[in-house]
Amino acid sequence: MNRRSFLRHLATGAAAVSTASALSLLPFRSRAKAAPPPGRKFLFVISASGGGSILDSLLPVAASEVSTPARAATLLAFPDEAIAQPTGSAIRCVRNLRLGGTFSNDYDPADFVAAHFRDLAVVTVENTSVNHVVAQKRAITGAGIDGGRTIMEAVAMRHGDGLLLPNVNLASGGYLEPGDAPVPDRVRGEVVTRPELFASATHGYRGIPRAPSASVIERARSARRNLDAISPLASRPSALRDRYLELRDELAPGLESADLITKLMLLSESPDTPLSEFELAQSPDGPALAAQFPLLGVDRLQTQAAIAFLLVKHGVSCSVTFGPGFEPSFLPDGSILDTPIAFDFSHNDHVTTQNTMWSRIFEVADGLIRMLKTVEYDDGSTLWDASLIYVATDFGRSKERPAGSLTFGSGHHLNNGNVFVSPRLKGNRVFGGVDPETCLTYGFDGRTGEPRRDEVMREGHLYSLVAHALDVDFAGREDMSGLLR
Amino acid sequence: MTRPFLSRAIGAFVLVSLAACRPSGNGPAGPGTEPPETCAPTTEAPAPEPLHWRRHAAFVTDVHAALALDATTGCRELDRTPCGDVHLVALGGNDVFGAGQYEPVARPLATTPLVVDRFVLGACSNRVTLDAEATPVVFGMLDLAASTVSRDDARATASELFRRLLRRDATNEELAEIAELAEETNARDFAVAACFAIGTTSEAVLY
Repeated sequence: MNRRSFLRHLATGAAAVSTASALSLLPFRSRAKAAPPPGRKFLFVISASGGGSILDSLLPVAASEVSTPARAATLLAFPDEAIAQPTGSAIRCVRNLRLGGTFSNDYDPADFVAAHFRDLAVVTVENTSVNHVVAQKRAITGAGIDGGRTIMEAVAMRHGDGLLLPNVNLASGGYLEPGDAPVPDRVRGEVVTRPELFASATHGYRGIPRAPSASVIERARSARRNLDAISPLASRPSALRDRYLELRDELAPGLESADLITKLMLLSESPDTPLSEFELAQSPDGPALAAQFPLLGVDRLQTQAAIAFLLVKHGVSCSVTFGPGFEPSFLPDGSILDTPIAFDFSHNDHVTTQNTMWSRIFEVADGLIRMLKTVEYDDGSTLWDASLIYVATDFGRSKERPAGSLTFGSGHHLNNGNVFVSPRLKGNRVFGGVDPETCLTYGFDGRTGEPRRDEVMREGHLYSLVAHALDVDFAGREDMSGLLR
Repeated sequence: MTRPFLSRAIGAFVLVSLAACRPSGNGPAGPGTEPPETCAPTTEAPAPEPLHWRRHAAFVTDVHAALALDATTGCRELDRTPCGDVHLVALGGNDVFGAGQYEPVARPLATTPLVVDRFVLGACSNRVTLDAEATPVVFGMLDLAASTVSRDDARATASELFRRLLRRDATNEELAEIAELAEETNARDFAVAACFAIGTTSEAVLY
């Protein structure tokens, strides 16, 4: 069975769950209790890999705002009817333009804004690199503002004490890279590339076909420890070996005893994934997740979002990073959910790519937020109240187009903006702004949040904002208090 | 070369040498500054790491070669997907096409020892099953249907497994350790347990 075929069977299994019945349970069921200790904060980084242009999502320029139609025809400006502004929202967005073609995605960003505008903040920025991998890394290190550590590592250091896997990373490219500062190994990202099967990596023997009983394996493990004690390697001082044995003999028992192989199991029982045959079972959250993420197991992004939720709910992680990668997700009918190489397919077709991929990002962010709101945490609030979503991206895209063209390619551009969602931020705000005559964004005063046309925001400001919102302090942190609730 | 030039050159060398000894953070050395009392480094360079991680491709190939298995007969999650593919990154490989991961992780991940266990346990279990059903390849010295294992057969099996999995002869102490697994265990379970214990030692993962 190849990978796609296997995933197709997973989809069949997921679809077997009655979506309607599972959805109907959500509003009525009492909130589940979260496992993480109180007082923690949670970071979700969604990597909009390839260059998600803020002009094509939450900071659009309407053609009517440009001085002349002729000039508007040469800029990344949208017809007025392509832009939505839900009731109560100060933030506008480009609708799902339903361009059809090869890439299918029905989610409308306007639904996201309508549901979450109170927690939604648009923050302008001018990045410092148009090289993808370099820019991606800078998007998570604040271009080195915190000595080179990533914001995920910093959050894991601040909030990850006692958690089994404080920092899990399912993203790609530069978003997957570790920071450049020395940090404890436990806060380095646990890299996960197969979220649908990650649960199996949390136990050394459960579900292994034809394996002997647990007691036999534990005896073998005991013998192994004795063999290691008399091994020729034991006499050679080695930090690598010490680390390996520490992980194996101290951390691994904790992962196994937490029963994560069940709690994180996204597969459902089906003829092609006969979990019970291997004494495994679907996560108790499986039906609710399948209702929120109906393409669980097939859609890589939805599957990543589902495992991100479970990792935080079960007190395993405080920082989870995920996002579309180079490979698009294919549906069993052959249609394609993402553009290849994610946002960077804008080189070929800017509008289709940006519109498709932003819809994808908002769809999973919406699902994640809704799931986090179902879990009670810390004195009557929910997990969402302690969370922040940072939609990180490489850079913006070029601001001009061939006059009047609706189908065109775009290049990389430093000027852009980022999307943040969190109850901890002053939501329903655009921090900075955009000049309709150039489609270039401008900055703001971090202490007040007021727009400043002469202010240039950098990656370090974004990093500082996340740090500030999640109680992470470091020398040189920019004052972003004007953006905090 | 004239004598005054030589003495100036020697003097400059001494000054440069003294400057190089100064601990950082005290500003540049120059004429009139006092030389430091010692030149000892403030921190010792760490000793070079003597071991390497046997990463994904090498590890998978070595285990398969040792047990005469391949991707279709080795460890497979749910008997469907090769464990080596599922756990590529945790085993030290890198997912170039799926994740744009151009370099593998520098050090073992938190889940690495567990996926090593899964990989080797799946492979050992499958090898024992295959040997029980047809002409044995690895466990020929055992009657895999037997309910007990003699100490001699246990030691012979351990010896064979050390050669196959660690590519060396076992010591008497190591053979005795594995032979103890045969006590109160049937032959099949002993075979898997011995294979697993040896195949997941730190020596099988690091070199």
